[in-house]
Amino acid sequence: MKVSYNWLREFVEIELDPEALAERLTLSGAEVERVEKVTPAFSGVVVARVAAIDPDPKKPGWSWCRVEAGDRELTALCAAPNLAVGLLTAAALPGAVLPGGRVEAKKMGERISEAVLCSEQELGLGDDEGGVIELPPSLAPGQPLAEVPGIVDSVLEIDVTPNRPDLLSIRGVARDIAALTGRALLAPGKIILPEGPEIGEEAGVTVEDYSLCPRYCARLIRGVRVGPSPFPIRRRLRLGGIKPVNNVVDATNYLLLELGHPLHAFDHAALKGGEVIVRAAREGESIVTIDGSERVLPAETLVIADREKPVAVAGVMGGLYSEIGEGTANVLLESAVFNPVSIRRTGRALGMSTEASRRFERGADPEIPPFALDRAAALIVELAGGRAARGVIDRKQEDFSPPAVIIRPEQAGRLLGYPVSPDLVKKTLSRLGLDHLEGDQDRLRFSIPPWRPDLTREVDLVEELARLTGFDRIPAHLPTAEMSSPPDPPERMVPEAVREVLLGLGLDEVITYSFLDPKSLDRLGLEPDNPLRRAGRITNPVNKEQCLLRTTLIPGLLEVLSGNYNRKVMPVNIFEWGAVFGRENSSPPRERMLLSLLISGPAVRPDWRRPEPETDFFTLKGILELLGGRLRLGPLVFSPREDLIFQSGQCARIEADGVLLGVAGKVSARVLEAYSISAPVFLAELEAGPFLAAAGGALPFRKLDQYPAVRRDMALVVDESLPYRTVGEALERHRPELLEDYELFDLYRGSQVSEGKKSFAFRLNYRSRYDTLCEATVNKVHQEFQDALISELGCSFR
Amino acid sequence: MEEELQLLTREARSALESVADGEGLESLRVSYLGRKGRITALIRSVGALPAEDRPRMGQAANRLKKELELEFEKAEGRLREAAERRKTSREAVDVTLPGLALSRGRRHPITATLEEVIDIFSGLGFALESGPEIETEYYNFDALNMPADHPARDMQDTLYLEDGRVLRTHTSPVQIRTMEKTEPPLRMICAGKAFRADTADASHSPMFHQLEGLMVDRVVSLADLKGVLTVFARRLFGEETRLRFRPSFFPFTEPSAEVDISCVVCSGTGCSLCSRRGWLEILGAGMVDPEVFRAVGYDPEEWTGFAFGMGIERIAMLKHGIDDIRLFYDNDLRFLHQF
Ligand SMILES: [Zn+2]
Repeated sequence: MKVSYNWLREFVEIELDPEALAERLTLSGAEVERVEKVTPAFSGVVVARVAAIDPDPKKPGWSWCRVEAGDRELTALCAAPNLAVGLLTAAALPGAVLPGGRVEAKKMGERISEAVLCSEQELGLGDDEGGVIELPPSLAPGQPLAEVPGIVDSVLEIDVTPNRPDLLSIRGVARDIAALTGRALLAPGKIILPEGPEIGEEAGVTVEDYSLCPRYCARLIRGVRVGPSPFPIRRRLRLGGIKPVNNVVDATNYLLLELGHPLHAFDHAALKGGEVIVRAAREGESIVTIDGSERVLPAETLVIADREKPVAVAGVMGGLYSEIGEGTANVLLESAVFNPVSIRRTGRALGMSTEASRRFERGADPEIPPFALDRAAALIVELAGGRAARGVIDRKQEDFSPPAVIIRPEQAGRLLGYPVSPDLVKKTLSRLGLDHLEGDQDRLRFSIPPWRPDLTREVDLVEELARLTGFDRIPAHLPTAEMSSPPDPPERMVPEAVREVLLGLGLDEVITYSFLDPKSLDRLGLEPDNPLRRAGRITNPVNKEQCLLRTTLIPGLLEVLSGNYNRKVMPVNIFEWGAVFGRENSSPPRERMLLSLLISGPAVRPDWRRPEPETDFFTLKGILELLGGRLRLGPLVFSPREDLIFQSGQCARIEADGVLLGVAGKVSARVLEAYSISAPVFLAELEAGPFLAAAGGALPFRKLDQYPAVRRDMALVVDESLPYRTVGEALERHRPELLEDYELFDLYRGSQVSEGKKSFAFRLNYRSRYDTLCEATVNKVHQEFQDALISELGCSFR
Repeated sequence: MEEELQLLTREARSALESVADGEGLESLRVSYLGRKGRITALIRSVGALPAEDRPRMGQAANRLKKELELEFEKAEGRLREAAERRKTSREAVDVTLPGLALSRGRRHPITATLEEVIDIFSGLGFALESGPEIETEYYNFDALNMPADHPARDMQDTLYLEDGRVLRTHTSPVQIRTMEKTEPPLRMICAGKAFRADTADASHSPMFHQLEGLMVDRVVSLADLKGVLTVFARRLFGEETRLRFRPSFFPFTEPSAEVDISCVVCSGTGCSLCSRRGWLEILGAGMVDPEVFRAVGYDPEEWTGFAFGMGIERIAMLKHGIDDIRLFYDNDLRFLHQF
């Protein structure tokens, strides 16, 4: 809501300057987002009265005007169509500066044009360039235009919260300022409405359903002359963000800003039967609204109709067909209250949000229609002439009875944290126009004014109390509660432990959008029935790239990679812990957490001392194994797997404790090409479930062994086709009790072994927990171990 | 004899001075002090002297031997030092060369900020709860006093799924879920992703992170809320931070407040970050609306509570002076490596 500071001052005395007022309003809950200083874009312009007009004999359409500006008289050559003797307008004196440039006296033939008579557009006060500006007759000729009230102003832009329809008006904001500063709300000018002949049978109003339209008031104004509004009206509309149209429409919009109550003016002659019917739209009905678009009306839309068809979407926008135009003579003026929910639904169904609908859907003041109607009628008559017919049509089912709300000072104190006395409550709430009814001091009853539909409960009054007393009155102290220190849930601990491991290994944490671009499923080259394609769809996505819910973290990681590579930031070693939303067949998306890793270079950056270390599948596998160990998943079992995303022969499925953990592998060249990446990339995607399940409990301590270990190396020669896993399983199966640990330290193929063979070299540590091992014992055990391996694997030793 | 001793000693000393390495030293030692060495031989010859000369000459010979032995030790030390010096001069490095490129991964700034905030509230006894990112309209709106057709629903542009559920627009549904399964009193926080139908720009993101808190007890007031949030803001932004509560509107709290902190850059005098206001809005808060209590079966006459919620991106941006929210989701490593 854009609020003119000058306009506010017609309703309440304000001692604060605009900035201070903005601060005061902000601290009362009406947040002022911006204070716009409205300053004239001109200088050297004065108010001038046209004294004489003398057409130029040689230039058709041009006239020599003599204007009076206080004690000066000036001549000005002018071609404006609205020149008239007696007209008060603006004259730019020689030396004046206008937005378009400097004004100098000019010699035109034998005569000198001393001043320029200006249009709104030339003064930068509006977009009307059809003639010279017409100033109100109350101004004094000679007065500098920049000093005329309304030329200099401040506009406060208030972010009105949805619970405060009353603040969507000048008078409503003024009422709050009055309450905050302890001033009286001033009444607007007395309504002078000369009435003509009876409204009689000429106009009629029928309301079909009062639950959708609790009140409908109307007046008929006969004999208006539609034309532009005077400058001050247009100026205020513009400052309020509304485009001037014509004097009748402008009058309704002026009151919309002033009182916050939307009104609508119909061309009475265009209404079939001269009457309006408030009813639901019928199947298939449509309307062309004043913005020129044809709208098909959903069946439940509340409309204003004449005998034949809808002429307005009730409370939202009028119809083009019955709009006020130059030919309009008689106006049917509507001032009604509509059901907020109905207006909101209509606005949503038609995709429309207007000044009117924004107010009606927050709840209109049920008592205001006749008052707003008379104000508007008086203004129309003032601006456009004509006479209001005697009599007001006022259709309503029941009278408004103000609701009463009880507030207990004690409960207010309990919520606010400081003592609240009955007197404070009474004094404070009465400033807001709430009337204290009878009742005891513990339970104060207040009647709620009709402009505050948001005040229905005790807490609402408590908030008003706090708001007016000032939130800075509220003390700050820590609650008295039982001490507690709840344990961290696995949902926090486990990702933290994962981060600790992976950050230590040089991987960076990333967070990517939870959305999925359908194109990225194609980039991954997924087959049509791949489960990753079964993504949940967002019905109203912001854009096409974000219309699905992600089923995998992989596209996000690849995009981070390609983004960084494009900026020549490399290597990219990253991980993400986040939710994905998979679907089984046609079931709705189900949420689960994944952990995905991407490695595209050495975990330790190369530097001047070390050449670039090689990154391969086993870099990734090492990271995963360390992670599995630290997070207590037990040994990870990798087995070969084929997957479209990964290069054939470099992909594994991973299990932990017999449970599927995920996949890891080298990203296929085809996928990398789709992301324009030319470096080798290794990816793993793991289920978070097993990590979460393995969490908890302190690790048990194992006593440190005292006796020295004995080391033995052995190199097994096996067929090339035998996977390491078979060897590893045999080692485990025949593992001697004295074998403390072992590691593979070399994999060899070449001249030292025969063709088609490879050699695994192991380093073994033998140790006894009870005594120092002697050579003979170790030799015996080691020999038996080797024999067992020979008989199981058919291997030899070298 | 005495002269002979003096002569030998002089000879040995001058030989020691010119010895160049350990080997030469050793052979010198053998030739003077070894079993068949010249000093040893001389000492042995003392026995052949007349008895009255023996003690004096014996003492003199032994003293000289000790002296020589000391000289040998010194020479040995000298040689060792020299060798050490040669070695270290060979191993001298250019200390101005850069150190090795060791690295450690970086926590995403959102996670880092979240963890910091969670730690503060954990210390105040708030238990961390979590909930789903896809929510029903009931938990996201209705239970939070935002019935269908309520204008407050317009405050949040919601992303809808085909099955009628929504991507949660805030983490508040977790408050409802927690209250449903917990008897009061309670103190909880929840944190996570939330979504709005916003086009990404410097200050908007369709996905962002929130942290919310809730405390319910028999007498919990706005003053308690102020106390808790003051502790929080001072821990996070520094002890000098001032707080300002402004009345506002949220459907799920009444009274409601927006909370500002004194500007982290200008401390309140006005700068470009705070648009010359001196204050920065960091969170929304209020007393739990009785309708919310009714939705979860708490008696609003018996219990009162406060709730608060903040955007983690906003907090991280203020803390680090980040000017574009999209940077968090670009994941440019040059950005991530700064935190
Ligand atoms: Zn500042």
